[in-house]
Amino acid sequence: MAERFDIVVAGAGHNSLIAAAYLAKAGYRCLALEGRPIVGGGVKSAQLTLRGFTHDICSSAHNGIHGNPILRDDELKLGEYGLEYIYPDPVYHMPFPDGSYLTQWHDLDRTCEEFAKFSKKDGLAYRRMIAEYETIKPLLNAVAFTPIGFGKAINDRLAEHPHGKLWQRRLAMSAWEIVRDTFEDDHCRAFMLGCPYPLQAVQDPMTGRAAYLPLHQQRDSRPLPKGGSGALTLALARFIKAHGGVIQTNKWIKGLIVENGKCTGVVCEDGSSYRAEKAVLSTIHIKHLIDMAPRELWGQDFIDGVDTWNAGLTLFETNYATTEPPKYAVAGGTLSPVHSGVMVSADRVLRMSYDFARGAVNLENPSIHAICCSIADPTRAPAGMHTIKIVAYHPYELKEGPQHWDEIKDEVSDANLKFLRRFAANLTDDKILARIVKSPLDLERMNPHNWHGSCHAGGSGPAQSGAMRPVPGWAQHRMPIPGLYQTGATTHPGGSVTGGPGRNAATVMLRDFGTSIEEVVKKA
Amino acid sequence: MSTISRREFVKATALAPLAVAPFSLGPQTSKEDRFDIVVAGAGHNSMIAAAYLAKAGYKCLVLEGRPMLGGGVKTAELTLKGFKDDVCSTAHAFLLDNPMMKNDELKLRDYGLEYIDPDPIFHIPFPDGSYLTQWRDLDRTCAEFAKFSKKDAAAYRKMLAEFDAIKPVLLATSFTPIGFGKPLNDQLAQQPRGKLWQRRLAMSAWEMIRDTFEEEHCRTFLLYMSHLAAEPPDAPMTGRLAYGTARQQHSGRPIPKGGSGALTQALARSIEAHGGVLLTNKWVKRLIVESGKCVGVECSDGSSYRAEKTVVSTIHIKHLVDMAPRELWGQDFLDGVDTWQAEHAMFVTHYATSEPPKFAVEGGTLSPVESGVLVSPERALRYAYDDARGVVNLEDPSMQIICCSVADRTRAPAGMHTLKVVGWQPYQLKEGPEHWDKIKKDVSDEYLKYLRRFAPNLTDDKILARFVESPLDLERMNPHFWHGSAHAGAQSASQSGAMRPMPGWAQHRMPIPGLYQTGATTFPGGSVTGAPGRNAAMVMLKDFGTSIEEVVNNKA
Repeated sequence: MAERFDIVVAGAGHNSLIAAAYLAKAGYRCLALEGRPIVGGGVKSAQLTLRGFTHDICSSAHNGIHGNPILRDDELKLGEYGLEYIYPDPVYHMPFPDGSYLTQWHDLDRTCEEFAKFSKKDGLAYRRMIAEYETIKPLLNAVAFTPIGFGKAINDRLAEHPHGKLWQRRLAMSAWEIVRDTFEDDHCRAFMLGCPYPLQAVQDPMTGRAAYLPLHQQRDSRPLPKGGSGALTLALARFIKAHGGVIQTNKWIKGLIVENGKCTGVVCEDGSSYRAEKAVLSTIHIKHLIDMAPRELWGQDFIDGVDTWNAGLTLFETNYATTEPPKYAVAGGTLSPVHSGVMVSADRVLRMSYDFARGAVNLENPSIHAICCSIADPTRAPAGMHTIKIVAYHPYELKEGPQHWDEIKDEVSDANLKFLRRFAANLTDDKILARIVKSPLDLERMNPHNWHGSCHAGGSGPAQSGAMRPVPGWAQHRMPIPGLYQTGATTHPGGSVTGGPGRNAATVMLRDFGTSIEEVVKKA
Repeated sequence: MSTISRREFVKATALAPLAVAPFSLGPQTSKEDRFDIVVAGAGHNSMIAAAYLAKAGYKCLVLEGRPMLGGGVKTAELTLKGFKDDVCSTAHAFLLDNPMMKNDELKLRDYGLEYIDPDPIFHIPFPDGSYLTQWRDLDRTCAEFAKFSKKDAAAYRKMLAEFDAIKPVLLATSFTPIGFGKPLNDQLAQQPRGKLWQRRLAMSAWEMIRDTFEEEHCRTFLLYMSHLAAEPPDAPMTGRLAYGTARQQHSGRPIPKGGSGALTQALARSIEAHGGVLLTNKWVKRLIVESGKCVGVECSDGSSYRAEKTVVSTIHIKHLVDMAPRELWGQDFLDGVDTWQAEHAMFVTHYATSEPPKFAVEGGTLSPVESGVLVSPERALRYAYDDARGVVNLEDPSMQIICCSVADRTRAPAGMHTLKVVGWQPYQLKEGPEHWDKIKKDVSDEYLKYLRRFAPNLTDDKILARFVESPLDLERMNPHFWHGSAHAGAQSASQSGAMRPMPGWAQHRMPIPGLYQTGATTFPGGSVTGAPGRNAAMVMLKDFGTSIEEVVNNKA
């Protein structure tokens, strides 16, 4: 006889696992089903190249989740389940073609001095900007970690804030306008927009907040879970199991079971089916979810919302196993930071959305984000060896169609590496033991949630943010089919490792079940 | 970075080579008159506000700094005698949806305003020799799309039907002051398919067009019409602009007979007929504030005028803020002014010609009032990039070509034509905006050279004279075109709706009691809609204890 479950979770990314963890802690019996052989979705580590080299498959730094009550208030005590963070210093390093460089250190004064090398005024501007940002950060965090409709809308919160009117304007401006009007030197501007590039066209309206991302990491660094990004989802899996939950892998969901208009379970590709006595929680991308139940059950508004969903900007990644970390020339020697990146000028940042819109791979001075976790976390590679991930930004939709990626991806990877060697000349062929290349098309193949290559499930512009994510009218995690909830990057506050969609979905579900997340957290 | 102070501007205009012949005005006033309302600046919006207030019985004084009224809605002989050029705006497509015109609230036709509806509405020739013409007749327009793609013709018809269904909601929003009705999103929530429109309006025009049309020429036409608002069509929140073509399918792109300025001339006559007074060459220099209240204005010639009820300003907020002590505005207002951003600027050349442009079409040539060049969607997607980095890009530039004299014989001597060629370029060049003075003639030449690829008849011998206005010249000509912004500033998300001109001050009431603001810096923004003017009148009349409905219904 089949086991009984209160909750069936379709897909095991960090958000759905977080939701399941809160629900399991609340006493609900949870079953999490994952299509791939290992759980984690975009928060996963594996030996992609050679034995002993642990690579982060998608995410690496866990910035956003440090503002989430799950870690901030240690609500789930994930440390007891093996989660441990490393806070690299320097935070970020950017070399420039003229031989100069800007390093962001954990120490604010030291970072301001780096800006001041280029412009005293910009050094002061950075200090002022961080002071201003600190005053608004709690409000922005509260918005991200509150489900839509469970608290005041952001504009209403801002209206009560002493500088709220200015922040209403700033958040609606473009990141470029804010950076251009705040900093005068081109190196400082390039750093602010490219450390790393925020996956939004920085000259687009409503991207103002992206101008403050460097300040976010000034305080929290770009934290790495010891052992790999996947250490977070592994800790969550342990937590769920410790609270009576079950996790099964190699279980691709094929369809939702709907009875009397209510979602009561799921059917898998292998023919197995699982029933949920209370609710089904999905983290399946909405573009796929909609095919898992008869169309008429979704309603026209929801279908319109799925039809108009857009992909947003996409990544191109290469993972390397190496015998050396990147070494950048700095005064008095070389520097090997965990996080570094190249953005040759503000001009180059501004060009990215144009190239994306026209479907062109632009390899002239490409923007690069390089991550070498093994510098700070020796568990990632055999002694003296290193893992390096080189992230570039290229469109999924090529003029020739996305399939064209299979023809060009190796050359594109070569070109990105060749460019990085202009700054980290030590990364010669003899230092490279193996590589694996993931084009935007590969990213989608690897994880269907990376729909059209978008690691954040889709663009995070105003049409797909806040109360419009995933669909206007359906932002509260409750889906049009009763009994079905949605979490993951297609829900507020969106993609990247924040855990916001997961904890928010749990907040909504627990309320619907007649309790609250506060009560559950208080529980021993 | 250069900013032109108002004082410098006044100096510069004295030297500016603008042969502007003022239309005759009524008798000028003496200083002793008393006024209820003093209006600082005479653009079409402030004059519309004044016209409603005058009709309500308030004695209005309108002060204009230039020798001629009208601001961006002005017609003058810029090139040669007898050639009437629209100095800034030409088509009044949106104005006719304003209740002022739609319900004939001010009977402006009695004061000489008459509209011409050109057909075709718009024509775009493409480099491959093909072209797409929008005609007033829907079937004929659909046939034009069908030349390229039958599917796109059907898509256009569907788009128009969908837009017609939501248009009343969108219009009502524009013609209602912020806070006087439900916000747009709340209204949409009550509409069938309103959720879809919430998404669409937050998307970019490019996403809408790319996902609706399959063929490059059709996409290009739609993108062209969407970029006339000077916003990059790939920017979020521009979704509504994707419907620019659909919007003008029914109402066309009407032009006032005699020139764009015929509107402000008619408004002036209406104001005078209702006891108002208009004075030109009166640069407002300062606001008079007494006991914390704005009670009048002082002009650069030393004269001053007092308002017994209120002062209405249409001075650009970047200049307005210098006209009273800074502490009176409050930090929120100053923050709003500091963060105000300019728009993608226009580059304009006026020509007097002996021929209209002649575009090759099947069976001969076509000479429309309005036409445009945009070679591909890709070209339009490049605007934001070029503008942000301050680069003049003359490779296949997009342009708007307007030849009003084709439909309005009063604009030029018999057989002659006025031709306006508009391009879009950044004001802030890497070399600084002053660099425009060095390059503007060459830039203008390039535009003409490029236009000749499509209208080869416009050879040198057909051109009698020209007048070039760079983005910098536009600012010199009218300080309201701050940093070359013909709409006063970008109409992007951060400067729209309740954020125009700034968060907290979108209701036309300014931080200094007794001072109201209208014009393109206020909701719903620039272009010839008259909405900022009528909306400001609504707010003021309400504050005065009456309402615009009462004033309109008063047949006197």
